[in-house]
This record gives sequence, C-alpha cells and structure tokens, in this order.
Amino acid sequence: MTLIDTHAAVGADRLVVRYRKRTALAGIDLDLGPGVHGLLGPNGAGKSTLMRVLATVTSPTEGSVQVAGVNPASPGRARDARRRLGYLPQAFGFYPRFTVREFVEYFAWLKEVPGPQIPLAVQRAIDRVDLGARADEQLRRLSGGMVRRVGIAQAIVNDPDVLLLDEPTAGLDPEQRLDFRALVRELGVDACVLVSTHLVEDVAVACHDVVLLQDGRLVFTGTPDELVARADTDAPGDTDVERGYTSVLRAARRSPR
Amino acid sequence: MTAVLDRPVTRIPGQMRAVATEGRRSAAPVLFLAVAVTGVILLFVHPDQWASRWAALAAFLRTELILLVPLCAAVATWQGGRERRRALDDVLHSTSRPGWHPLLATWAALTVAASVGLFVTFAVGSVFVLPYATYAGGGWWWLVVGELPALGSVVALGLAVGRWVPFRAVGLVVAVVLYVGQALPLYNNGPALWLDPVADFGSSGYRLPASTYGLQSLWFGGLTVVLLGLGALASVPVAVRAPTAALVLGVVMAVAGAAPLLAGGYERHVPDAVARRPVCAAGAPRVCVAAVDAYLLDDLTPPARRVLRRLLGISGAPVRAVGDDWTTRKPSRALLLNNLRPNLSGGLLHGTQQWGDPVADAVRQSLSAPACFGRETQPPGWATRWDVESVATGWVLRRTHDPFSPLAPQGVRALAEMTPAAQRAWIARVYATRDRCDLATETALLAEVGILTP
Repeated sequence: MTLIDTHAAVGADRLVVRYRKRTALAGIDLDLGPGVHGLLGPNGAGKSTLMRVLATVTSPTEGSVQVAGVNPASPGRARDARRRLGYLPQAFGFYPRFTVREFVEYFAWLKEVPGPQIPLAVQRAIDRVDLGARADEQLRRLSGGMVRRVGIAQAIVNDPDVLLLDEPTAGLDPEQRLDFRALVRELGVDACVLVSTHLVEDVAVACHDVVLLQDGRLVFTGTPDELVARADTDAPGDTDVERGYTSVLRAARRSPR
Repeated sequence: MTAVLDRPVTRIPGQMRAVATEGRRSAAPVLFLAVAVTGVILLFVHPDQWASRWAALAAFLRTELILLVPLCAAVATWQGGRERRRALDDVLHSTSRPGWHPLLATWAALTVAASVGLFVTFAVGSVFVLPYATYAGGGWWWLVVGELPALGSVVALGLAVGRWVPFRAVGLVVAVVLYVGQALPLYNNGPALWLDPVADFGSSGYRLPASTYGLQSLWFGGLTVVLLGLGALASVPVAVRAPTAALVLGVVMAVAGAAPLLAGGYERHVPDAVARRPVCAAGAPRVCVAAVDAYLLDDLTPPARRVLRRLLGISGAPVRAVGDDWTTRKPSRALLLNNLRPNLSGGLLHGTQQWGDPVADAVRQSLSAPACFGRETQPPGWATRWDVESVATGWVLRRTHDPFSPLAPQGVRALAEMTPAAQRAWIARVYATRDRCDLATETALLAEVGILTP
C-alpha cells in the first residue's frame, strides 16, 4: 500500500514554462495525492500546459515536476513515469480505421502492459467507458462523444497511478457525464486523477479538491466547499460553486502579481 | 494499481499484435493491393519476356521494381505522416514505449504487405511457368528473395521521410525521385547498377553468383537499418540510444555490402552452362535448343524441319537448326533460332508480320550477306541484295506475299516455274554469294527471275 501512496501523486516545484516570450506557467507549486482533483481556469490560464508537462509531453523551462513519484527529467525516468501514467489530451487524435478494441489494445502495448494481460485490460477499460457494445466498430463510425470515451479508455487501460484528463467531458451527453463522474470517483480511490475542465459543476460533484489557475499562476487550491465559501454574493454564476470560481478569479485579477 | 506493471514484460505477443493491427488498419492493405495489381498488370504487358522460364520470371519481377519501388515509397511516406495528420503526437508522447517500437511495427506491416503483394505477382506468373519450364536451376529464386530487402529499405525510406517532412504531397516527390534515381544507373552500365533495386539481371543463359545477391541484401539491409534509425529519431517518445546504434550498424552494413559491389565492376554475370546445354528433338534433320528453351521444341521442330527438308542437298544451305546459346560462336550451315518468344501456354509466340517468326527469321538470316552490310543504303544496287534474299526466303518458305519486298512474290513465282533442279541451283548460288558482296551476280540472279534492277 505504501507503494501506491508514493506513486499515485503528482507535484510541481516552482514550475515555469515559456513558449518563446510568452509565459504559460509562472512558478507553480503543486502537490496532489490520490483522489480526484479538478483543474479549473479560464481559457489561456495554463491548464493544458500544466497537463502536458505532467504528461511528460513538454519539459519545464524552469523548476521540476514529480509524476508517479518520479522526476521525468531524464529519458529513463520519463519512461518509468509514463508506464504509470494515463493521459487524455484536449485535442485527442485517433486512428479512424482502428476499431475501439484495436485502438485501446494498441495503446496498452504502447504503455507496455504485459502481453498476456492485454486482452483482459482492454476489455475492462472498454467496459468502464460503456463501449462494450461498440468495441468492434471502427472509430470513424463513432460519434464525437464516443470517441472521447475511447480516449478515456486508452488513458486507463494500464491502470495508471496518475490519470490526466484534459476536457474529458467535451462532447459527452448529460447521462454520459454522470457515468463519467462515477468512473473518475472510482478511479480516484487508488489513483491521482487530475481533471481539467470548464464545467465547474463537474468539479464540484466529482472532485475531492480544486486547483484554479489564472494567467499561469495558481490562485486557489482547496476543496469544492472551500471554493463555495469564497463566493461573493454579487459574483456572477448560477450555482454557489460557479460564484466561488468567479469570485476567486476576480480577486486574483485585482491582486498585484 | 501497480500489480500489473510489476510483472515481467513479455514483448513478443504484444509486438505481434501491434504488427497485426497495423497490417489490417494502416496503409498496408492498400499497399498490398497496389503492389499485387500493378505487378500482375505489368506481367501481362510483356508475357513473352518471362513466360515458361523461372529465371526470366524472377528477372522480370526485379524489372517491375522500377514502378513498384516508387509506389511503395509513396504509400509508406503517406503512412509515415499519419501521426502528425491525426494529431496523435501528444498522446503518443505520454506512452512509455520508445517511438521506434511502433515505427518498427508499422515498417514490418508495410514490408510484409508489399512482399505478399509481390508474392502474389510471382504466384500468378508461376501459373504460366510451372507447367512448361524445362529448366529450374540457376539460383533464380535468389532474385525473388533479394527483392525483399530492397522493398524493406524503400518502406523505411518512406516512413522516415513521412515522419520528418510535414508536407502532404511529399510522397509524390519521393516517388518521382526514386523512379529517376533507379532509371539513371540503367543507362550507364556502371557498377552503381548493383546498388539499384532494378539491376541488370541478364537473360536466361546467365546467372549471378550467390555473393552478388548476398552483398545486395547486405546493402539494402544496411540501408533499411539506417533509414529506420532516421525515422526513429523523428518519432515520439524520442529515444536516442537505439536509433543512434541503428545508424552506426546500418552504415557499417551498407558500406560492407556496397563497397565490394562498386569495386567489382559492372560485369558480374557468369554463363549458366546447364541452362545452355543443348536439347535436341528426336529424329532428323537435327533441331536443338538450349535446355532453358526446350519447352519450345515441340513448336519449333515441325516448321524448322520443313525448311531443312526443303533445303536438303542444296550446297551451302543450312542442314540443322540450333537455338541461341548466348555465345558469339555461330555454327556453320545452321538455322539460328534466335529471339525465341513464348506465349502464355508454353508455346511459341508467332509474330504478326514477317518478323517475329523465329524459323522465318532464321531462314532470312541464313541468306543474308554480312559482306554487303552497309551497301543496302548506297546506290547502285542498294536494294539488290535485299531483293535476292527476299525471293530466296519466299521460295524456302513458299511465301506468296512479302510486305517488305514488293518485287519478291513476282520473283518467287518466276522461280517456281523453273525446273526443280534449276530452282535449287538458283538458291545454291544465292548461298554462294553470302560471303562476297557480288553485285553483278546478284543482279543476274534477279534478272533470271524477271526482276530488273535499275
């Protein structure tokens, strides 16, 4: 059990990412353990950049990250981290001629799931995203929401210790979103699940805590209840958690950098 | 969660599964169809060049590479750009397996597809060889096997270019460059030809030493490893150590193969004595061809014997018929059965006009006067020898028309009106003038059959 506690975590230490002159992340400190964590923020706040760094796709300009107990700075360590990682990028590409099963199976292989265990792992991942009935259909014949679920299936096929989901509910219908929330809650029992989304209510319902980014800076970390508690009465929003979200962002904009 | 990953990794089943999936879902099926269909179509464009002979079929398959190589490269280049086109780089980058593993799976799937396509072409060709071929030696199968490393290197080239160059039409550019690049060495007959997938593999009377095939395989194998290394360096997740090792190993292999090929010069063919061994039809007059052409004996013997019997007893005329033995030695008083072209059913392909019938061509050749070569275009008497030969050929073959010599039928008719002895004497005099270019005698011969020359 100690092993799981060590690995089911991500962290960032004074993380800075710059793209030429633009600073996408400006000194993030983060420490997330097992559970479901919501990553919120307006467009351009740096959510996807943080996800890409944690997914070992992009390297930090300064500072460091820990993924599944490993600093992936060297190729060997990155490979160790990737074995324990699941990632659904915001722009999820796929091979349209592959069937659902073939696609998830291919990613199981890419994630070095032991060969004899691949069929079972694939079936379980497909069942978890409720695509069992469509498992042998080609991806090009599936709706956008179903393809998104295939993306989630490939991310979880290796039973990751760290699961990074960037806009996972985009394209899902309300019923599928409910199923998805149940799934991430289940995954979050053992793994560190970081869900980046614009849907604040998803975070409020499914996440143990919330990370809020604004202009590349961390402006809030806490539980959904703590976010609600930050809500100003005059803040825009339909729900308490939305009002808390906008209140934190307003306060961050007012505060000096 | 980690229990799955703590067990030892067994690679082979997963690798095979990935290759199989790529084989079904990548451009591999398209490549298989393209190679098979193109290959078979090309086969039937020139069936006379390969039918009924294993070595000729194998050599023809190598010749087909001039189109199949650009085709494979174009498809592989398209495949190489798939991850970029499909925006898969991010999600692939987050997986643990080094980028060269999936590259290798894709390469294996495409190479197998192209190879199977080629095998289908070979199998279709075999249908028209197996029942008729009279010679199966000469190591011809090395020619076919030797194509596979060449196809592998071309697929690796396409994948590497596709991964490095973000331009959708780059496959077409690669195809054109490869077509020209393969064709150029064919024109200068230098040793560089042996580095070309479409090398000159000679005709049925020759064979190549096994060392040539071995060196070619080493060259193409090395090229494949180098190109896979280059492709791997453009694949995500990036791994440097294995691709760098591949580059070094590949360069060593390629140089080890190419250096002896370049140093050994162009001429590598050796005579295939077994293929050239004469095989004769039972009975007389004697009709013989090389063992590799022996399937044609049944078709050649009756017309050749009709001619030989008609010429029987005529001084200087051929007394036997022999096939091409790929030497410069020309047997005396023989009908030389050259340019033997088979049809698809193991028989002789007859020309549609005066040329193309090997027996008729041999009669004409037996009458031609090398001493007069060059005179045909010079007045006076520029056409005299031609008309003499045409009349004589017409008489031997009992031909009543000649599209290439309008006066000949008239001469043949006049000759036929003479006594048999006079006819044979006239033909004997034609044979007698073969070795001296005697315009006066030729003019007199034509005058005797009613053809007056200016």
